[in-house]
Amino acid sequence: MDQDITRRAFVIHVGAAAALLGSAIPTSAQTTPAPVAGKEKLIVRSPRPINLETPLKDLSAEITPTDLFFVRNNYDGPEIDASQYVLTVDGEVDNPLTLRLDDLKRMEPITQTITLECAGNGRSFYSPKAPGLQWENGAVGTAVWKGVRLAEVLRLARPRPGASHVVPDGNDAPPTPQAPDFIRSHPIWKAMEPHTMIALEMNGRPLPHLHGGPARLIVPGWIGSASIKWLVRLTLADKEWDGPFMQRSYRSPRAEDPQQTYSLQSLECKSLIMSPLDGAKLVAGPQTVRGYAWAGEGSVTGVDISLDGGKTWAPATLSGSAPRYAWQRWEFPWTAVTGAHTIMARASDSLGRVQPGGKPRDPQGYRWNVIHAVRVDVA
Amino acid sequence: MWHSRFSRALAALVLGVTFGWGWSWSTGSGVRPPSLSAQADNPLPRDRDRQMVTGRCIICHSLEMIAQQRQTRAEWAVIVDRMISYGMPVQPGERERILTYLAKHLGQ
Repeated sequence: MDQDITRRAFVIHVGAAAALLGSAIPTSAQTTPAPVAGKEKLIVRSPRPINLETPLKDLSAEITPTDLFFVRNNYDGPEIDASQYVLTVDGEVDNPLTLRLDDLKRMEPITQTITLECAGNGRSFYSPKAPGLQWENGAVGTAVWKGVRLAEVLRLARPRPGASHVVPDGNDAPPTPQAPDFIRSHPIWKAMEPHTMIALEMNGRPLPHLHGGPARLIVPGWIGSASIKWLVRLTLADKEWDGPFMQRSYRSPRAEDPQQTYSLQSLECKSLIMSPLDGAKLVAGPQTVRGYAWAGEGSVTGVDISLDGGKTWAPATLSGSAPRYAWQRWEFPWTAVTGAHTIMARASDSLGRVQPGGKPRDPQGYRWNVIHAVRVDVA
Repeated sequence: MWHSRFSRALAALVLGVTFGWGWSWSTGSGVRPPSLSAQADNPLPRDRDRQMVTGRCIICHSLEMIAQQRQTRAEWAVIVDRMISYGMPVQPGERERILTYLAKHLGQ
């Protein structure tokens, strides 16, 4: 019997698995919105603003093709003509400046493989339901991003000693004058971290509009909303942004005092089983369970597999060379015997975090990382 | 497959044209009813107040944003009051009717 999975946690987990298997589709929403051009395979969670989820069956590649990469927009933004693009850097700096796309392209380029995940990925599995888009598992993906270090751009502007936060703004606009602009700030230490970048390309092509082109932030290891799209302004400030997308949204209760909340930064430690898919019919004999694991600011140290409902666990093999901030491929050889089986995968990370078997309600439905389970039939 | 995609795209086009040309958002009166295709594509549950709720919400976002959610009346009230603070136009009494509709059809 594994020490980490108590019977109670397992019961909660089975409930979550049942939610995953059965009740995720709302009964009254019978219509299917029209697909979005270039993203025909994605599940349309909302056509306006555009929010698209990748079906788990299409997430098997180590690098998610752009046409399969999820889209999460709080507001939609107008297309930006690359030749007219201007990035303004201002606020607590000695050298306010503007940069055009060509200016950015003349800087030293960096190329990084980075996993992005929406903070609300998996929200639909919470019970009772949390408000917000009802993502299942596919608001996550990994792409190769090319661009420049944010630190290099900020240094050009010469931040003053009191500049403790960077406030990025995108070119998206709220639909009414009263609705707040989508702005979230980052502490200067993360902005200056050498992996934090302004991306101009995704998977070898100019960054598409749907993914924030011509330029967006990539804040690796942090919740997706940190990676502001359509980046047009970087304001250095002496305090955290005080708008609602910082002070109300993207916050969770503190473990030690649930009455207090904290602003979400790092992603959770999490893994998904990509193969076999839930409900798969398998042939008895040698099979391989495959998936990916990621851990935000942590590094994945192990993925364990259970075939007996969490009673015993065996380590999967971590394969490939996962770059910092990219998901880790894993696989587990399995001799399948006839019958119905539940396969569970549980990741651990360098920060000492282990995926839980169950989770208390998160008021806004963030941070879902309960152990993923799939049911298969072997004949 | 192609046919169903095509018909969905066509329905979306009809929906867009209908809403774009025919609706006056600021008042509840003088609103041209949506076409049959638009109604067939509306993911909100049918009810006396569906059209009013549709008209108030679709100004800013798709109806799918609402239809996929399940919230208690008190939880819906937090969301609706936020939307009103963001400029959602409501006539006297409509806030209660919207909450009743949402709690009845999209409650938990």
